[in-house]
Amino acid sequence: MQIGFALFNGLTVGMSIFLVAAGITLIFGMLKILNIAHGSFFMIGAYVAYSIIGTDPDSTWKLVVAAILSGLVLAALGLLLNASVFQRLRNIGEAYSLIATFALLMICNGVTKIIWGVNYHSVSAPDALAGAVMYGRFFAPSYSLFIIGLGVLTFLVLEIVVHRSSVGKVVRAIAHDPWMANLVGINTSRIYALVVIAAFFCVGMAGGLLLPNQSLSPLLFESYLLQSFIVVIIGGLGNIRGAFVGAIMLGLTEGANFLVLPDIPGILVYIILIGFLLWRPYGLFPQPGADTAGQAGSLAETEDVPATTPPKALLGSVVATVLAVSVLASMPFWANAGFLFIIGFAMVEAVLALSWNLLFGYAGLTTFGHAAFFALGAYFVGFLLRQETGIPFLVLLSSSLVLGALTAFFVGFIAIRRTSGIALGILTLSLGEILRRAINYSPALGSDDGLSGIPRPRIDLGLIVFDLGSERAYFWFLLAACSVVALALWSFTVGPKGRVLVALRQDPIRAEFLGINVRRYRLTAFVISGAIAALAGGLQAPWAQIVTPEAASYLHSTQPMLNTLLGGSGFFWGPIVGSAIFSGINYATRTLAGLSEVVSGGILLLIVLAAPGGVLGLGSRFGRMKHVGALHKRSTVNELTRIG
Amino acid sequence: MLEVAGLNAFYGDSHILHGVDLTVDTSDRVSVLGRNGSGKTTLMKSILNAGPRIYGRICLDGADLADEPSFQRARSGLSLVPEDRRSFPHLTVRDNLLIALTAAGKRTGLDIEQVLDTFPMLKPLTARYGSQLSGGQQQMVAVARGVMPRPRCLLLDEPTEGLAPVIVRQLAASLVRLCDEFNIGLLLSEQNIWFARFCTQRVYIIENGRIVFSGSWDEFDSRPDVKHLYLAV
Ligand SMILES: Nc1ncnc2c1ncn2[C@@H]1O[C@H](COP(=O)(O)OP(=O)(O)OP(=O)(O)O)[C@@H](O)[C@H]1O
Ligand SMILES: [Mg+2]
Repeated sequence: MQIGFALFNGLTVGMSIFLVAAGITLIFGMLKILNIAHGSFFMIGAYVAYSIIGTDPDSTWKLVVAAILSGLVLAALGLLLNASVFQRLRNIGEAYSLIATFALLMICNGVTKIIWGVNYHSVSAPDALAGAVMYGRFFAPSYSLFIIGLGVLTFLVLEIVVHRSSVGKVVRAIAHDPWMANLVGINTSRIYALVVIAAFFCVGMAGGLLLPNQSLSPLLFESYLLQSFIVVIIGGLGNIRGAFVGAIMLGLTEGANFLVLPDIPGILVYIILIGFLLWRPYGLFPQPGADTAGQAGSLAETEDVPATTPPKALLGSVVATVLAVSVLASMPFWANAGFLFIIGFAMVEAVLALSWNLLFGYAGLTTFGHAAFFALGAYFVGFLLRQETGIPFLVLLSSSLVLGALTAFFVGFIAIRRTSGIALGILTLSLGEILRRAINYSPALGSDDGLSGIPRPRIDLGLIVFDLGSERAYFWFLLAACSVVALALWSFTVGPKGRVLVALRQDPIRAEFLGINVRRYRLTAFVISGAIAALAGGLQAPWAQIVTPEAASYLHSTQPMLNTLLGGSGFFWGPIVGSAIFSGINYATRTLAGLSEVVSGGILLLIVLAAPGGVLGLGSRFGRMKHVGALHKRSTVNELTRIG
Repeated sequence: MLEVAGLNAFYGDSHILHGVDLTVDTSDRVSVLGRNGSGKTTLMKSILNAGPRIYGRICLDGADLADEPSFQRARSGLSLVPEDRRSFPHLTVRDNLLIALTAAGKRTGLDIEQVLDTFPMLKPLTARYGSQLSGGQQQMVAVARGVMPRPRCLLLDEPTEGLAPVIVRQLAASLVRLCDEFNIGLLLSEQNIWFARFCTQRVYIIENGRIVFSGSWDEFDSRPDVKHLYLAV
């Protein structure tokens, strides 16, 4: 009985998710863009429907009409975005288009807050759907049946259109080979636009139909985002049937979670997902000849990221570095407390971003769960400082470094062996979510509230004692520590190992031929990167004096990505520039709910569309460094020959 | 019918075609010969605006195609069979041919049964998926797909590559028959001189992105130096 109910509920969840995931998979199948903003469009659809019917729809028809209207509104939005954004994303690399859709997510969420405010609303189901249907001892809520029916209906419609109609043949022809499709006279741009419009219509309608029985707030985007990604990944990207099967599997897993682990909702999905990714990194239906349009291929490898350029003008770099450090060091004397606080955060975020770019820019690995390492270090140091164990602070920091390295080794050893590209991204994202949920439900770690009141330490070197208790003192310590870490990383990247990494990134196949163990180099990068991320967390805990589970969330994981791409992933110092700019934007717009997201997202989108090399790339495009990339390429290929 | 004048083509910064002039008259059949890397494929793609960045005049029946996208050019009557074939793997052979009728636009394309009769090798394969064909079979599908919309000019990029000699002879015969019957012009890029000579009346030689010779096959034969210099045979 209880099992039946849990599984039925699971199925309802699965079908709701399918309604959102269908659009993601349609867009990916055609445009090869993984639209991270889709959850936000779903949310906007829900808000639009809410504006039409209010909190108490009195008939099912009203709900359906409102859903169709919000589908139309979203379709119009899709048309607009296709012309202004998606069309341009086809010409840039996968990683950049991910960032662009993330920028859209920020903009949408900001706009939602500005238009509809941040309060919760709850909408009830219309009377006709509020009851339940009884079958002997088993009863099913009518609204659940309604959703399951809609899910199946949507699937059937899409299945017939995509796989059994002449339109579907054209659509799949484009998905397989847009170039050839053009040559047989198909107006591919128009079909792209139609698919985007259809996907947006679906998601707008889903927003309206799923409106009852959930709390409508600017956080709604999140509740479907990760799960619909999981469904899409399990199914094999771009595959409608796969998404449908994936949705059912995910729903049933949720149901099982409720029965087996009622205390930690949602964790089983991630555990199973990880197992799944290791087992079949390309999803259930990956064969390109059948109907999977997109293979979950490599994210970074196919990328035309500018070659990571070693600073040629060493003198210039030294001057700039000294100048920046001096300005920062003088800040406690003139900056106000709030600003100083933000700068401290920015320095830590910069280190985190540098460590992420070691993976992305140098090793060619795109991970989405970097915040997990950060949280590991932050909780480790924060927890022990609160316990007043008397362990010296520098020992704590070194231990967090080791902890990060060990964890990264275990994760990387398996993950790099089995996955790459998007699969690796989602795998790391899932690990991060598991950690966040585990923390969320650990009373010893303060659950939702996290650890607060973390004391700032003193450093006892025998002869001298540094008391880092004051804001000012810890700031200087932070500055020194971050500078040392950044310099250490820099010398690694320009050293022999770092140069090999860049060479591998540019030409992994050739490296393989030369007998270089690509995987081992990548694992090394992974370990170093994880260690430094954990150290960044350890450094931040006493600065913020509080650590919350948000430190491990995927939203925090995106921060280093944004900083890196904003600054320029092809430059070692890019992530630092990006962090500085981002903090500036955040500081300037901090009091305006919603607006800060719109501004940050807008800038990010502009950068990706107009200057995919980041801010530094923009500078060098006009400067003398124009040809350095090409020169550099030759030298790194020689590098391969030398070691090979 | 097809006139190319002063065509320059670029891949990124590299300048590949340098002021190419070329014409194909109605129902005219013309070969382009040249070494590997001389620019034959680039020329074909440029005519369809399908890849390289192009400058220059490309006119079809007197109308300048300017910067029309490739699907529009396909609809106006240019049909490219690329050297890498590119049959659609998820469609059956029949559907591969039928989808090309999109390019017929307002004109009427050919009847699929007629085309299948011309390429007897395809007859038993009509229900197979593109992904289940051998290289040579895919080549046949690609050529058949190319003629389906009944183009004004068919552009064939090295169609004989990888085909058995018997099949090459069959293909030559089928092609000539189709082009004659339906007034299809032909621009053929080839390494196989026998095939080129069989299918076409005139020949251009391209070297380093420049046309270095143009004339009838007789003129070509009377210039052994040209053959020696540019084709190294
Ligand atoms: N996508 C590309 N990017 C840059 N250069 C290219 C590209 N494609 C071809 N080239 C260059 O353009 C020149 C002409 O190439 P093209 O493919 O037109 O030669 P081809 O005559 O068709 O040779 P083949 O007989 O081998 O098919 C070559 O030097 C080649 O290196
Ligand atoms: Mg060629």
